[in-house]
Parts: sequence; C-alpha cells; structure tokens
Amino acid sequence: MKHYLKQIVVFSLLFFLIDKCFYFQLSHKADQEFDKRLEYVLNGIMSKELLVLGSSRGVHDVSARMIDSATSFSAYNLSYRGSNVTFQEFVLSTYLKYNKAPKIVLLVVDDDAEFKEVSSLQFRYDRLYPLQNYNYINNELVNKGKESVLSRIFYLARLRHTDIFAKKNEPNEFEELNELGDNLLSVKNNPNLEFKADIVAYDRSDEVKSKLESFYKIQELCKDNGIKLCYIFPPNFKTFNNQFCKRIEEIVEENAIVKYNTNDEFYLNKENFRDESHLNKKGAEHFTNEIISFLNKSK
Amino acid sequence: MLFNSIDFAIFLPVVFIFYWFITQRNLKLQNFLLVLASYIFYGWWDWRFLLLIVFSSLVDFSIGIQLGKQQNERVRKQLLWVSILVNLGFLGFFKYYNFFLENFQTAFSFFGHSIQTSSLQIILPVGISFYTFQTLSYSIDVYKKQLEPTKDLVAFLAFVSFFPQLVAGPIERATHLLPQFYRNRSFDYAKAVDGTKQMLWGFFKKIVIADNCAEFANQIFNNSAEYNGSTLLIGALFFTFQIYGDFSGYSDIAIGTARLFGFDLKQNFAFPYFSRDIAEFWRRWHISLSTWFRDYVYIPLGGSRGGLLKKVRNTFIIFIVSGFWHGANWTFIFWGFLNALYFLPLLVMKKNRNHLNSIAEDSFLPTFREFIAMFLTFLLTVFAWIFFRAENLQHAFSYVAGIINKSLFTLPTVRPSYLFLLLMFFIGVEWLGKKQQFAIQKLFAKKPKALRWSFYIFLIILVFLYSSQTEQEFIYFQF
Repeated sequence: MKHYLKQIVVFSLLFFLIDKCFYFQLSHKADQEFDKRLEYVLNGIMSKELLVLGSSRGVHDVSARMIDSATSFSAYNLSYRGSNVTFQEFVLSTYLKYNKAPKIVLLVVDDDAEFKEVSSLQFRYDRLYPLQNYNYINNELVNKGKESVLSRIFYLARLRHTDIFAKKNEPNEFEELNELGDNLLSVKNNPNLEFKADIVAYDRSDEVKSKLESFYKIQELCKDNGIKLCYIFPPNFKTFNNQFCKRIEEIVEENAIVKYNTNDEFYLNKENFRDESHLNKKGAEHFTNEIISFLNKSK
Repeated sequence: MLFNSIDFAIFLPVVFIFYWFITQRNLKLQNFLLVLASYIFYGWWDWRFLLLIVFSSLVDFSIGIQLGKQQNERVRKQLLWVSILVNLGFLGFFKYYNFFLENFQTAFSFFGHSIQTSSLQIILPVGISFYTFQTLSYSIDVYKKQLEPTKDLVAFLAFVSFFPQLVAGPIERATHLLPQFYRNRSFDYAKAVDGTKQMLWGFFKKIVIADNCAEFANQIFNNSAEYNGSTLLIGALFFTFQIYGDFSGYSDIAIGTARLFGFDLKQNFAFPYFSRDIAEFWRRWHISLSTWFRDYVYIPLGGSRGGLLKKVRNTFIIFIVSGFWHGANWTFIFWGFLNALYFLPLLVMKKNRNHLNSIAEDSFLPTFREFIAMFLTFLLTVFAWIFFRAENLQHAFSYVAGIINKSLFTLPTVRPSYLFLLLMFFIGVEWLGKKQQFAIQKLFAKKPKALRWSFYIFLIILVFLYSSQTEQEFIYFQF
C-alpha cells in the first residue's frame, strides 16, 4: 500500500509540474486575440474618466475618440458586439476591481431588447476563454458552469485541443477597433433599408429577471463608486420606442437619459445608417456630438 | 454519480482511505462501507430509486434463503417465479410500460378498434437493467443449486449494489462476485496498479474517443437529411467508435475501480472490432450480457441441441431479446434481428466457433484473409449500429438510403482531421494490446519506467485537451 501511494503521489507531483509548463500555452492563447481591451482592464492599465458600455450599438454608434478630444474626459469604449447587459455588468465590475473608478459611464441601451432574451445579445464567453490565464476570468467561467472545477488546479483543464495550434485571429471590418475601442462603420448601408414607422408595444412579461438584476447592479456599482451613470439611446431607423424609454425612466435612479434628438431629420435619412439598428460613421459622429454637448452642459 | 465527474474524483479517494485504513480489519464493516458507498454513489443521481434496489435485494435475499431450505421442487419453482416476476416486473414497468401501451394502441387501431389509454411519465431508474439481471442470476443459480444461498445480508446487498459496476455493468454472476465479499481482502500492489491503468484507459476511451465522436455523430444523425452519402457513412463510423469507447470505457473504469478495492470483475469487452466474423464479435462485445443470455435464456431454451430449426429459433430469440434489453424501441429490436441474420449463415454452416483465438495471434499483422474478414465484419457492425442509433426505424432506413447512392463517392462535408488522427492512435494502441485484458495493460511493461510514465502523462494530457467543458453521460446509463 505504502509503495502504491508513494507512486501515486510522485506521479501526481510530476504531472502537476508538467501541467504548470502549459501556462506558456495558456498565455499564448491570449496573444492570439486582436481585441485586447479586457486584458488591459485586467492588467489595471486603463484608468479612464469616461467609459462607454454597451453592445454593437455602443461600439458603432458612439465614438470614445471624439468624446476624448472634445471634452475634458479621457474616454474609452468598452462595448462588445452582441453582448447583453449581464456581460456589460461583468465588464464594469472587472474594470472597477482592477482600475481606478471612472467619473462617468455611458451605458448604451438596446431598445427594446435590453431585458429580453434575444439570441443576438449574449454573455460573451468567447471573450473570456482566451483570457483563462487570469484566475479571475477562469473563476468566473467556473462559477457560470462553463468550465470544469479542475481548471482551478490544472492549467491543462483551461486549454482545448484547438488552442494548441491556434493561429492569430484577424478582425473583420466589424471587429476592427481604434486605439480607444471604437469602430465607426464606413461600410455601405443596405440599399433596401426602409424606415419602420410602426411602434411595437413593449411587453414587460418578456423581461428576464437576471438581466434586470444586472441593470440594477450596474446602477449600484456606479452609486457605490461615485460614478455618474448616463443611459444612452442611439437612434434606430424606425420610430422611437417611447414605451421602452418610459420603462427605463421608471427603473433608473436619476434622470440621466440621453436620447437622440427625435426631431432631427438627420435620423430619417437612411444614408446615415448602416442598418436598422446601427448608424454609419457619419451618423455616429453626428450622434456623438449630441452626447458631447450633453456632457459639456452637465459639467 | 458519473465516473467522469469531480464528485467521483473526491468520492473515490475518500472511500479508498476508509476502506483500506479504517475498516480493513473487520470484513463485515468493510462490506458495510461498500454498501454505504454504493448507496451514496447511486443516491447521488436520485435517492428515491435506492428503495427499488433495496427492495429487489431483500426479495432475492429472502427467496435465496427459502430456496436453500425448501426441498419441495414445486415450491422451489414457485419461489423462483416470484423472484423472476418481481425483478422483471420492475424492469417491465419502468422500462417497457409505455412501449407496450403505444404498440397495443397502434395494433388495435390497425384493426379498426381504438382504445383509450394514458401513458405515464416514468423515469427510468439508472442501471435497472443491469442490477436486475445481476440479482436474477443469483436466484436462478441458487435454484439450480449451483450456488449456496448466502446468509450474509450485508455481503448480498454489497454484491447487488457494488458501486463500480452498479449502473452499467459488467453484469456479474453471483457465483463469481459474491464469494469475493466473504473473503478477507488484502491490498495487492500489482492489482491496484493494473486497476489504475485500466481506469486511465477507460477515461481516455470515454472522454477522448467517445465524447469527441459523439459530437460529430450527433450532428450527422440529428441532421441526416442534410448530408451526402459519404458524410452519413462517416457519421455511422463515428457512432461505431462512440458506443465502443463509451461502453467499454465505462467497463474499464468499473473493473479498474473494483481492482483498487481488491475485487476482480469479469472482462466485458475483448477488442470486438478486431473480430473476423459476427460470432466472434459477439464473444467479444458486452461479454457479461451475452453470456448471461446464453446461460439463462439460450441454454434453457435448448441451446444448440436439437434440430437446425430449433437452433435458428433460439438464436433469433436470443438476439431479439438482447436488442430489446437495450431499450423500448423497435430500432433495438431490429438491431438484434439484424445481428441474428448476420449470425445465421455461420450457424447453418457450423462456422460459428471458427475463431476462438484472437486475430494475428502469432504475428504482428493479420494475414490478408484475416484483414478482409475483419474489415467485412466491421462494416456489418457499422451498418447494424445505424439502427441502434437512429431515432426510429424510418429514420434508420432513410439514413441507409442516404448512404447508398452516388454521393457516397463524393468528399464528406464533415472531416474532423484531429478526430481521424485520434482514432488512428486509438486503434493502434488497441491493436498492440489486443492480447491483454485491456490495451495498455502490458504496453511498455518491459521498457524503462520513464517511458511508461511519459505515455501515461501523454494520455492524461489528451484527456484534458479533448474533454468537453461539461460532464457527458454514458450512453449505457439509459439502458
């Protein structure tokens, strides 16, 4: 028995040591990614005064670069395409854990899908897997049941066979980011784009509890850290959904809603849109200027 | 509790320590610990069904004692029937109730009568087909006076519920396993090392081979209408390796675990895909079930005695019942029937015991003739697995029709090259170890320890790299 246990212990120790060598492979996994924003956040090298949080509407419709140069705030866009409010809450809490709190957070809301279960808005686990060399990220994956508990002990458990020979990911035109995390779309719009005048009634029974909780958590985090939280409503190529806006007004603590100028005919011109839910570069610059005026006025 | 879970990774060392360090000097206590551990292992899934195991065990234990005391043959036969009815009654209710109900309904409506019945939402207790057969074998063996009835309740409960093989076999015979609970067990280094290696190989088969094959087999079978012939063939091939890796992997982990506790379980798989005909395949696939049916159904039916017609009838019965044992679906019955058809020519030509040794016994490579025989047997098996995996018979036939057309000669649209490499590695290792109980038992045995350990570490690395993020159930849990 003694001999068997000795062999098991020696073998386990040897394996444990070999496993540690896989840390290099694990950190290499992060190097393959072109989007380094979350890594910068984890490394605590951000410390910006203004953050933009949101989904693709945050990345494409709001320019942190313009805000950065036109206001006194150093700004950064931490919006992730296809991300839901739960992921945005995770990004903010991670930011606050490793960086100095910003003064302002601009939360770009997805009207009217912010609290609904829609396939286009997800918790972006794919942004977390490449950063599994950070225990914080790995623990988050374990807690969400997306990674084995073994990964807390073994680096190998954080790797997949596809990571071994992975090539560097190259961004497509929607994924490219400037140095402040923006991507204003200069690609041509859809020629068949039609303005939608119909208003779809907002149904609260479609709201998902966990998403609402994340929304409240973002408010709580901002309050606890003395951050001014602004809710940004970028335009869609359709009639403004007042019902959804009212819903947000009901659940936000202070009135800091920045909605686009619904009387501005600029937003009725399809040449300023990439598609129904996203502005193009020209549209985004126009809309960002509205945000800049708001920020400068409310100083 | 799944073998490939964190729960088991904690459970096993805890039980091991209690078993060898705390209860070692007291056999009764050691057996009691095994019962307790087995019930925890099973109850982890659903504690309510523990009552079923306990009840079934108590019934067979009491009947065994009565069978030992009773001299009147008529009463003894009645007692045996009670055991059979109780055990098969549970099995029939939990596993086959809805199947029979639906088929009665269909049959009646075919003749123009409609009957009103309501199906039940029945949960199939994990492993019921396995432990039912195990307890039944005890009653039958005691009835046949091949085994003395046990008076040791704890040993009997441990025999029925022994956690390594409780939920998916191997189905042990009382004559083989029960006496092991009566004997003092001392730790055997060689046995424990062997067991550990067998567990490692089992995990490799399950996690690396079966689970990775399952990903593509499921994708192809679930969307079979969208794929060309060659892809469907690849899908069937992947399922062939999935089911082997999954089930034989479970058996390896079970046998290996049992060895850590000083028990010997019977070999359940003996490299079945290296068989040269279907008869040999069935001597090598799920051996504990095949021999169970042979001893308790085929032989009592007359076996190979009597005329050819009787032999053919018995063969069909055995294969169809074996298919039905796997699940309440016509696909399993057809799968059994198909295997009986494969077996028939060998039986008629009296060639069903041609290959009692293993392939390439005295050489490294098979002869050309052996290779062709092995290849054809493998193809027949792959074809039969399509029926086993399909959702229903219609799906199976459309799957087969999808393969047999011109598109079979086009490139498959699903070609996971990494999986082909893994399968080649797997087949290679299995070939090298085909004369052993499990493939890596003696692999590199005479080589330096450093090489052996490097190989084991390599296997563990593969297990980590090719595991999915969530624990995957074993296929045979549903049987």
